[in-house]
Amino acid sequence: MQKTTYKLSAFLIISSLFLVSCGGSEEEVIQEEIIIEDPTEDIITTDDATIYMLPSPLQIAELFKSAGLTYIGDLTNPKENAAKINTKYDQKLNFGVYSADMAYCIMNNQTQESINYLKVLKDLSEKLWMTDILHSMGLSDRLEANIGNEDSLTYIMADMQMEMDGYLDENDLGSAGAVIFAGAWVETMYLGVQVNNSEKNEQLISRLSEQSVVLDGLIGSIKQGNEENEYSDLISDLEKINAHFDAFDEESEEAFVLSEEALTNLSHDIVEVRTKIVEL
Amino acid sequence: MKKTILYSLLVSVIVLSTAAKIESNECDVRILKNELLQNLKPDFKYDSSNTSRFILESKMQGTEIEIPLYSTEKYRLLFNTKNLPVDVDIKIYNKRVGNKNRKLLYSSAEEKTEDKIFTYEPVNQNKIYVDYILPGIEEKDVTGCIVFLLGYKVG
Repeated sequence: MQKTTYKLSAFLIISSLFLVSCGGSEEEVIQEEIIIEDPTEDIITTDDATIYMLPSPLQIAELFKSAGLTYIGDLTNPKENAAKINTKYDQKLNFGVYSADMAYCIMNNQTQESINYLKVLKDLSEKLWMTDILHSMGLSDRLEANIGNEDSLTYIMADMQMEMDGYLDENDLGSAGAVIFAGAWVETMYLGVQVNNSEKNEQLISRLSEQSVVLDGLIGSIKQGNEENEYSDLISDLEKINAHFDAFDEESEEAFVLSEEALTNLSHDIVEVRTKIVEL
Repeated sequence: MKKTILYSLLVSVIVLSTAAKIESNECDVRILKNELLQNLKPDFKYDSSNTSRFILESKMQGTEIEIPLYSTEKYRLLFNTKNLPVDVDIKIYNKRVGNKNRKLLYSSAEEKTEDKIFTYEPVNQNKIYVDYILPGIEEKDVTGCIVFLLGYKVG
Protein backbone atom coordinates (compact mmCIF):
# COMPACT_ATOMS: atom_id res chain seq x y z
CA MET A 1 0.00 0.00 0.00
CA GLN A 2 2.74 2.40 0.95
CA LYS A 3 4.69 1.49 -2.24
CA THR A 4 1.62 2.20 -4.34
CA THR A 5 1.19 5.52 -2.64
CA TYR A 6 4.80 6.50 -3.27
CA LYS A 7 4.51 5.42 -6.92
CA LEU A 8 1.32 7.40 -7.32
CA SER A 9 2.88 10.47 -5.69
CA ALA A 10 5.95 10.22 -7.86
CA PHE A 11 3.74 9.92 -10.93
CA LEU A 12 1.72 12.98 -9.93
CA ILE A 13 4.83 15.06 -9.22
CA ILE A 14 6.49 14.09 -12.46
CA SER A 15 3.29 14.72 -14.41
CA SER A 16 2.96 18.15 -12.83
CA LEU A 17 6.50 19.02 -13.68
CA PHE A 18 5.91 17.85 -17.22
CA LEU A 19 2.77 19.94 -17.58
CA VAL A 20 4.45 23.05 -16.20
CA SER A 21 7.37 22.80 -18.58
CA CYS A 22 5.23 22.17 -21.65
CA GLY A 23 2.38 24.60 -21.25
CA GLY A 24 0.35 26.86 -19.09
CA SER A 25 3.21 29.34 -18.94
CA GLU A 26 2.32 32.97 -19.03
CA GLU A 27 5.72 34.04 -20.25
CA GLU A 28 5.62 36.56 -23.05
CA VAL A 29 6.46 35.10 -26.41
CA ILE A 30 8.68 37.48 -28.27
CA GLN A 31 8.13 37.20 -31.96
CA GLU A 32 11.21 37.65 -33.98
CA GLU A 33 10.79 40.45 -36.44
CA ILE A 34 11.57 39.30 -39.91
CA ILE A 35 13.49 42.01 -41.64
CA ILE A 36 13.33 41.79 -45.37
CA GLU A 37 16.68 43.05 -46.57
CA ASP A 38 17.22 44.71 -49.88
CA PRO A 39 18.55 41.85 -52.03
CA THR A 40 20.31 44.22 -54.37
CA GLU A 41 22.52 45.86 -51.74
CA ASP A 42 25.16 43.15 -51.92
CA ILE A 43 25.29 43.29 -55.68
CA ILE A 44 24.92 46.99 -56.51
CA THR A 45 26.78 49.34 -54.22
CA THR A 46 26.76 53.09 -53.88
CA ASP A 47 30.22 53.08 -55.50
CA ASP A 48 28.89 51.65 -58.74
CA ALA A 49 28.21 54.22 -61.46
CA THR A 50 24.52 55.01 -61.74
CA ILE A 51 23.07 55.32 -65.21
CA TYR A 52 21.12 58.56 -65.47
CA MET A 53 18.15 58.67 -67.79
CA LEU A 54 17.05 62.09 -68.95
CA PRO A 55 13.54 62.96 -70.13
CA SER A 56 13.08 64.15 -73.67
CA PRO A 57 12.96 67.93 -74.18
CA LEU A 58 9.69 67.28 -76.01
CA GLN A 59 8.09 65.86 -72.87
CA ILE A 60 9.16 68.89 -70.84
CA ALA A 61 7.92 71.24 -73.57
CA GLU A 62 4.53 69.51 -73.62
CA LEU A 63 4.27 69.72 -69.85
CA PHE A 64 5.02 73.43 -69.92
CA LYS A 65 2.57 73.96 -72.77
CA SER A 66 -0.21 72.19 -70.88
CA ALA A 67 0.61 74.45 -67.90
CA GLY A 68 0.00 77.52 -70.05
CA LEU A 69 3.33 78.33 -71.71
CA THR A 70 2.12 80.82 -74.32
CA TYR A 71 4.01 82.18 -77.29
CA ILE A 72 5.94 85.41 -76.99
CA GLY A 73 7.64 86.56 -80.18
CA ASP A 74 11.40 87.10 -80.20
CA LEU A 75 11.97 85.08 -77.06
CA THR A 76 13.60 82.22 -78.92
CA ASN A 77 17.23 82.19 -79.99
CA PRO A 78 17.57 84.05 -83.33
CA LYS A 79 18.50 81.71 -86.16
CA GLU A 80 21.25 84.13 -87.20
CA ASN A 81 23.20 83.17 -84.05
CA ALA A 82 23.77 79.73 -85.56
CA ALA A 83 26.39 81.20 -87.91
CA LYS A 84 28.60 82.05 -84.93
CA ILE A 85 28.68 78.49 -83.58
CA ASN A 86 32.06 76.94 -84.28
CA THR A 87 33.18 74.53 -81.56
CA LYS A 88 31.70 71.06 -81.14
CA TYR A 89 30.80 71.93 -77.57
CA ASP A 90 28.79 75.01 -78.61
CA GLN A 91 27.21 73.07 -81.48
CA LYS A 92 25.93 70.40 -79.11
CA LEU A 93 24.56 72.92 -76.63
CA ASN A 94 22.87 74.99 -79.31
CA PHE A 95 21.47 71.94 -81.07
CA GLY A 96 19.59 71.45 -77.83
CA VAL A 97 18.60 75.11 -77.66
CA TYR A 98 17.23 75.16 -81.18
CA SER A 99 15.42 71.84 -80.65
CA ALA A 100 13.62 73.41 -77.71
CA ASP A 101 12.85 76.50 -79.78
CA MET A 102 11.45 74.38 -82.60
CA ALA A 103 9.25 72.46 -80.15
CA TYR A 104 8.02 75.79 -78.67
CA CYS A 105 7.12 77.12 -82.13
CA ILE A 106 5.46 73.88 -83.23
CA MET A 107 3.30 73.81 -80.11
CA ASN A 108 2.25 77.37 -80.66
CA ASN A 109 1.52 76.94 -84.37
CA GLN A 110 4.27 79.27 -85.50
CA THR A 111 4.67 77.71 -88.93
CA GLN A 112 7.38 79.86 -90.49
CA GLU A 113 9.50 79.90 -87.35
CA SER A 114 9.21 76.11 -87.08
CA ILE A 115 10.50 75.75 -90.64
CA ASN A 116 13.34 78.18 -89.90
CA TYR A 117 14.45 76.21 -86.87
CA LEU A 118 14.24 72.92 -88.76
CA LYS A 119 16.73 74.36 -91.28
CA VAL A 120 19.06 75.46 -88.47
CA LEU A 121 18.91 71.97 -86.95
CA LYS A 122 19.69 70.37 -90.29
CA ASP A 123 22.77 72.58 -90.66
CA LEU A 124 23.91 71.90 -87.10
CA SER A 125 23.36 68.17 -87.43
CA GLU A 126 25.68 68.13 -90.44
CA LYS A 127 28.39 69.88 -88.44
CA LEU A 128 27.90 67.35 -85.65
CA TRP A 129 27.94 64.44 -88.13
CA MET A 130 24.38 63.59 -87.17
CA THR A 131 22.85 64.21 -90.60
CA ASP A 132 21.44 60.71 -90.71
CA ILE A 133 19.09 61.44 -87.84
CA LEU A 134 16.97 63.87 -89.81
CA HIS A 135 17.20 61.94 -93.05
CA SER A 136 16.37 58.56 -91.57
CA MET A 137 12.71 57.67 -91.50
CA GLY A 138 12.23 60.67 -93.80
CA LEU A 139 12.02 62.82 -90.69
CA SER A 140 12.98 65.99 -92.42
CA ASP A 141 10.35 65.53 -95.15
CA ARG A 142 7.72 64.45 -92.67
CA LEU A 143 8.34 67.51 -90.50
CA GLU A 144 8.02 69.84 -93.46
CA ALA A 145 4.92 68.09 -94.74
CA ASN A 146 3.16 68.38 -91.39
CA ILE A 147 4.05 71.91 -90.38
CA GLY A 148 0.90 73.38 -88.82
CA ASN A 149 -0.37 70.03 -87.58
CA GLU A 150 0.71 70.04 -83.93
CA ASP A 151 -0.39 66.48 -83.10
CA SER A 152 1.44 64.85 -85.98
CA LEU A 153 4.49 67.00 -85.40
CA THR A 154 4.89 65.99 -81.77
CA TYR A 155 4.88 62.33 -82.84
CA ILE A 156 7.42 63.07 -85.53
CA MET A 157 9.58 64.88 -82.98
CA ALA A 158 9.33 61.84 -80.71
CA ASP A 159 10.61 59.73 -83.63
CA MET A 160 13.44 62.20 -84.10
CA GLN A 161 14.33 61.89 -80.41
CA MET A 162 14.39 58.12 -80.76
CA GLU A 163 16.68 58.30 -83.79
CA MET A 164 19.02 60.62 -81.96
CA ASP A 165 19.10 58.38 -78.87
CA GLY A 166 19.89 55.40 -81.11
CA TYR A 167 22.65 57.28 -82.94
CA LEU A 168 24.25 58.45 -79.69
CA ASP A 169 24.08 54.94 -78.23
CA GLU A 170 25.51 53.21 -81.34
CA ASN A 171 28.40 55.67 -81.41
CA ASP A 172 28.98 55.65 -77.66
CA LEU A 173 28.21 59.37 -77.41
CA GLY A 174 26.19 59.33 -74.20
CA SER A 175 27.88 62.43 -72.82
CA ALA A 176 27.09 64.36 -76.02
CA GLY A 177 23.44 63.52 -75.46
CA ALA A 178 23.58 64.97 -71.95
CA VAL A 179 25.13 68.21 -73.25
CA ILE A 180 22.50 68.50 -76.00
CA PHE A 181 19.83 67.94 -73.38
CA ALA A 182 21.41 70.60 -71.14
CA GLY A 183 21.02 73.15 -73.96
CA ALA A 184 17.40 72.14 -74.50
CA TRP A 185 16.63 72.14 -70.78
CA VAL A 186 18.13 75.59 -70.16
CA GLU A 187 16.24 76.99 -73.16
CA THR A 188 12.93 75.49 -72.02
CA MET A 189 13.46 76.85 -68.50
CA TYR A 190 14.33 80.23 -70.02
CA LEU A 191 11.09 80.26 -72.01
CA GLY A 192 9.19 79.21 -68.89
CA VAL A 193 10.61 81.88 -66.59
CA GLN A 194 10.25 84.63 -69.19
CA VAL A 195 6.62 83.78 -69.92
CA ASN A 196 5.94 83.59 -66.18
CA ASN A 197 7.66 86.94 -65.67
CA SER A 198 5.35 88.50 -68.24
CA GLU A 199 2.25 87.02 -66.64
CA LYS A 200 2.38 85.04 -63.41
CA ASN A 201 1.06 81.52 -63.80
CA GLU A 202 0.85 79.17 -60.80
CA GLN A 203 0.74 76.03 -62.92
CA LEU A 204 3.84 77.09 -64.79
CA ILE A 205 5.59 77.86 -61.49
CA SER A 206 4.70 74.37 -60.36
CA ARG A 207 6.24 72.89 -63.52
CA LEU A 208 9.36 75.02 -63.12
CA SER A 209 9.68 73.81 -59.52
CA GLU A 210 9.36 70.19 -60.60
CA GLN A 211 12.52 70.45 -62.67
CA SER A 212 14.52 69.74 -59.54
CA VAL A 213 13.99 66.03 -60.21
CA VAL A 214 15.81 66.33 -63.52
CA LEU A 215 18.72 68.58 -62.69
CA ASP A 216 20.61 66.28 -60.31
CA GLY A 217 20.63 63.52 -62.91
CA LEU A 218 21.66 65.91 -65.67
CA ILE A 219 24.62 67.15 -63.65
CA GLY A 220 25.55 63.56 -62.73
CA SER A 221 25.39 62.49 -66.36
CA ILE A 222 27.57 65.33 -67.63
CA LYS A 223 30.11 64.73 -64.85
CA GLN A 224 30.44 61.11 -65.99
CA GLY A 225 31.56 62.35 -69.41
CA ASN A 226 33.85 65.07 -68.13
CA GLU A 227 37.17 63.22 -68.10
CA GLU A 228 38.85 65.95 -70.15
CA ASN A 229 37.23 68.75 -68.11
CA GLU A 230 35.62 70.21 -71.22
CA TYR A 231 32.26 70.49 -69.49
CA SER A 232 33.44 71.93 -66.17
CA ASP A 233 32.00 75.39 -66.84
CA LEU A 234 28.65 73.95 -67.80
CA ILE A 235 28.61 71.78 -64.67
CA SER A 236 29.43 74.79 -62.56
CA ASP A 237 26.59 76.80 -64.17
CA LEU A 238 24.09 74.00 -63.67
CA GLU A 239 25.13 73.56 -60.05
CA LYS A 240 24.54 77.27 -59.51
CA ILE A 241 21.00 76.82 -60.84
CA ASN A 242 20.55 73.65 -58.79
CA ALA A 243 21.26 75.56 -55.58
CA HIS A 244 17.86 77.25 -55.97
CA PHE A 245 16.22 73.85 -55.55
CA ASP A 246 17.98 73.18 -52.24
CA ALA A 247 14.69 73.40 -50.37
CA PHE A 248 13.41 70.39 -52.34
CA ASP A 249 13.19 67.36 -50.06
CA GLU A 250 13.32 64.05 -51.90
CA GLU A 251 11.92 62.23 -48.88
CA SER A 252 8.84 64.44 -48.70
CA GLU A 253 5.67 63.36 -50.45
CA GLU A 254 4.37 66.91 -50.73
CA ALA A 255 4.67 68.73 -54.04
CA PHE A 256 7.57 71.16 -54.02
CA VAL A 257 6.93 74.74 -55.13
CA LEU A 258 9.63 77.38 -55.33
CA SER A 259 9.17 80.42 -53.12
CA GLU A 260 8.84 83.76 -54.86
CA GLU A 261 12.35 84.73 -53.85
CA ALA A 262 13.82 81.42 -55.04
CA LEU A 263 11.94 81.76 -58.33
CA THR A 264 13.26 85.28 -58.88
CA ASN A 265 16.82 84.16 -58.20
CA LEU A 266 16.37 81.05 -60.36
CA SER A 267 15.06 83.20 -63.23
CA HIS A 268 18.08 85.48 -62.97
CA ASP A 269 20.54 82.57 -63.15
CA ILE A 270 18.67 80.81 -65.95
CA VAL A 271 18.82 83.97 -68.06
CA GLU A 272 22.52 84.36 -67.31
CA VAL A 273 23.41 80.76 -68.26
CA ARG A 274 21.22 80.88 -71.35
CA THR A 275 22.91 84.09 -72.49
CA LYS A 276 26.32 82.42 -72.15
CA ILE A 277 25.15 79.55 -74.34
CA VAL A 278 23.53 81.50 -77.17
CA GLU A 279 25.45 84.77 -77.37
CA LEU A 280 28.85 83.64 -78.61
CA MET B 1 32.34 -3.73 -77.29
CA LYS B 2 34.58 -1.50 -75.25
CA LYS B 3 35.01 0.80 -78.21
CA THR B 4 31.25 1.04 -78.71
CA ILE B 5 30.77 2.04 -75.12
CA LEU B 6 33.59 4.54 -75.31
CA TYR B 7 32.24 6.15 -78.45
CA SER B 8 28.74 6.25 -77.03
CA LEU B 9 30.04 7.99 -73.95
CA LEU B 10 31.96 10.47 -76.03
CA VAL B 11 28.90 11.31 -78.13
CA SER B 12 26.79 11.70 -75.02
CA VAL B 13 29.27 14.07 -73.47
CA ILE B 14 29.37 16.18 -76.59
CA VAL B 15 25.58 16.28 -76.91
CA LEU B 16 25.10 17.18 -73.25
CA SER B 17 27.73 19.86 -73.18
CA THR B 18 26.32 21.46 -76.32
CA ALA B 19 22.81 21.46 -74.94
CA ALA B 20 23.92 22.98 -71.66
CA LYS B 21 26.14 25.68 -73.18
CA ILE B 22 25.01 29.30 -72.77
CA GLU B 23 25.69 31.28 -75.90
CA SER B 24 25.89 34.96 -76.64
CA ASN B 25 23.39 36.60 -78.96
CA GLU B 26 24.19 39.65 -81.00
CA CYS B 27 22.40 42.66 -79.56
CA ASP B 28 20.34 44.18 -82.36
CA VAL B 29 19.04 47.22 -80.51
CA ARG B 30 16.81 48.43 -83.33
CA ILE B 31 14.87 45.19 -83.50
CA LEU B 32 14.54 44.93 -79.74
CA LYS B 33 13.44 48.56 -79.51
CA ASN B 34 10.90 48.23 -82.32
CA GLU B 35 9.29 45.33 -80.48
CA LEU B 36 8.88 47.57 -77.44
CA LEU B 37 7.48 50.46 -79.50
CA GLN B 38 4.51 48.30 -80.46
CA ASN B 39 3.72 48.00 -76.76
CA LEU B 40 3.60 51.79 -76.37
CA LYS B 41 0.82 52.29 -78.86
CA PRO B 42 -1.64 53.82 -78.96
CA ASP B 43 -1.66 55.78 -75.71
CA PHE B 44 2.00 56.48 -75.01
CA LYS B 45 4.65 58.41 -76.88
CA TYR B 46 8.38 57.55 -76.97
CA ASP B 47 10.39 59.54 -74.43
CA SER B 48 13.77 57.91 -73.88
CA SER B 49 15.58 54.61 -73.90
CA ASN B 50 18.65 52.84 -72.61
CA THR B 51 20.58 49.78 -73.69
CA SER B 52 22.53 47.97 -71.00
CA ARG B 53 25.19 45.60 -72.30
CA PHE B 54 26.65 42.87 -70.15
CA ILE B 55 29.52 40.43 -70.15
CA LEU B 56 28.29 37.72 -67.86
CA GLU B 57 30.60 36.73 -65.02
CA SER B 58 30.95 33.89 -62.58
CA LYS B 59 29.43 36.01 -59.83
CA MET B 60 26.14 37.90 -59.76
CA GLN B 61 26.24 41.43 -61.12
CA GLY B 62 23.90 44.34 -61.36
CA THR B 63 23.40 47.90 -62.39
CA GLU B 64 21.08 50.74 -61.36
CA ILE B 65 19.32 53.25 -63.59
CA GLU B 66 17.89 56.48 -62.17
CA ILE B 67 14.77 57.73 -63.92
CA PRO B 68 13.22 61.13 -63.17
CA LEU B 69 9.46 61.31 -63.60
CA TYR B 70 6.81 63.95 -63.13
CA SER B 71 4.45 62.52 -60.54
CA THR B 72 1.26 63.85 -62.14
CA GLU B 73 1.97 62.21 -65.49
CA LYS B 74 1.50 58.66 -66.76
CA TYR B 75 4.39 56.51 -67.89
CA ARG B 76 5.00 53.05 -69.22
CA LEU B 77 8.34 51.32 -68.73
CA LEU B 78 9.14 48.47 -71.11
CA PHE B 79 12.04 46.03 -70.87
CA ASN B 80 13.10 43.66 -73.64
CA THR B 81 15.29 40.91 -72.21
CA LYS B 82 15.15 38.52 -75.20
CA ASN B 83 18.79 39.03 -75.97
CA LEU B 84 19.95 37.92 -72.55
CA PRO B 85 20.94 34.26 -72.43
CA VAL B 86 20.03 34.14 -68.72
CA ASP B 87 17.03 35.27 -66.69
CA VAL B 88 17.44 38.77 -65.29
CA ASP B 89 15.72 39.98 -62.17
CA ILE B 90 14.38 43.49 -62.73
CA LYS B 91 13.52 45.34 -59.55
CA ILE B 92 12.19 48.88 -59.38
CA TYR B 93 12.52 50.98 -56.24
CA ASN B 94 11.47 54.44 -55.12
CA LYS B 95 14.90 55.35 -53.73
CA ARG B 96 18.50 54.67 -54.75
CA VAL B 97 20.49 51.73 -53.46
CA GLY B 98 21.71 52.32 -49.92
CA ASN B 99 18.71 54.44 -48.87
CA LYS B 100 17.09 52.93 -45.77
CA ASN B 101 13.63 54.09 -46.86
CA ARG B 102 13.84 52.29 -50.16
CA LYS B 103 10.65 50.50 -51.12
CA LEU B 104 10.25 47.84 -53.79
CA LEU B 105 7.65 48.95 -56.34
CA TYR B 106 7.97 46.15 -58.89
CA SER B 107 9.75 42.87 -59.46
CA SER B 108 9.87 41.08 -62.81
CA ALA B 109 9.77 37.79 -60.93
CA GLU B 110 6.08 38.54 -60.24
CA GLU B 111 5.25 38.99 -63.92
CA LYS B 112 4.74 35.96 -66.11
CA THR B 113 5.68 36.61 -69.70
CA GLU B 114 6.59 34.33 -72.57
CA ASP B 115 8.01 36.97 -74.84
CA LYS B 116 10.58 38.17 -72.24
CA ILE B 117 9.16 41.68 -72.33
CA PHE B 118 8.29 43.24 -68.99
CA THR B 119 6.02 46.22 -68.38
CA TYR B 120 5.56 48.56 -65.46
CA GLU B 121 3.44 51.69 -65.05
CA PRO B 122 4.45 53.73 -62.00
CA VAL B 123 1.93 55.76 -60.04
CA ASN B 124 2.72 59.13 -58.42
CA GLN B 125 6.48 58.76 -58.43
CA ASN B 126 9.12 61.47 -58.88
CA LYS B 127 12.22 59.35 -59.25
CA ILE B 128 12.47 55.62 -59.61
CA TYR B 129 15.45 53.30 -59.68
CA VAL B 130 15.60 50.29 -61.94
CA ASP B 131 17.97 47.54 -60.82
CA TYR B 132 19.05 44.70 -63.09
CA ILE B 133 20.34 41.67 -61.22
CA LEU B 134 22.04 39.01 -63.34
CA PRO B 135 23.05 35.54 -62.15
CA GLY B 136 26.59 34.27 -62.33
CA ILE B 137 27.47 31.62 -64.94
CA GLU B 138 30.38 29.29 -65.52
CA GLU B 139 30.91 29.95 -69.21
CA LYS B 140 33.22 32.75 -70.24
CA ASP B 141 32.78 35.55 -72.80
CA VAL B 142 29.00 35.35 -72.81
CA THR B 143 27.34 38.65 -73.58
CA GLY B 144 23.84 40.02 -73.76
CA CYS B 145 21.83 43.19 -73.48
CA ILE B 146 18.62 44.62 -72.08
CA VAL B 147 16.77 47.33 -73.99
CA PHE B 148 14.63 49.61 -71.89
CA LEU B 149 12.17 52.12 -73.25
CA LEU B 150 10.13 54.80 -71.48
CA GLY B 151 6.89 56.15 -72.88
CA TYR B 152 4.78 59.02 -71.57
CA LYS B 153 1.28 60.35 -71.87
CA VAL B 154 0.79 64.08 -71.33
CA GLY B 155 -2.44 65.37 -69.89
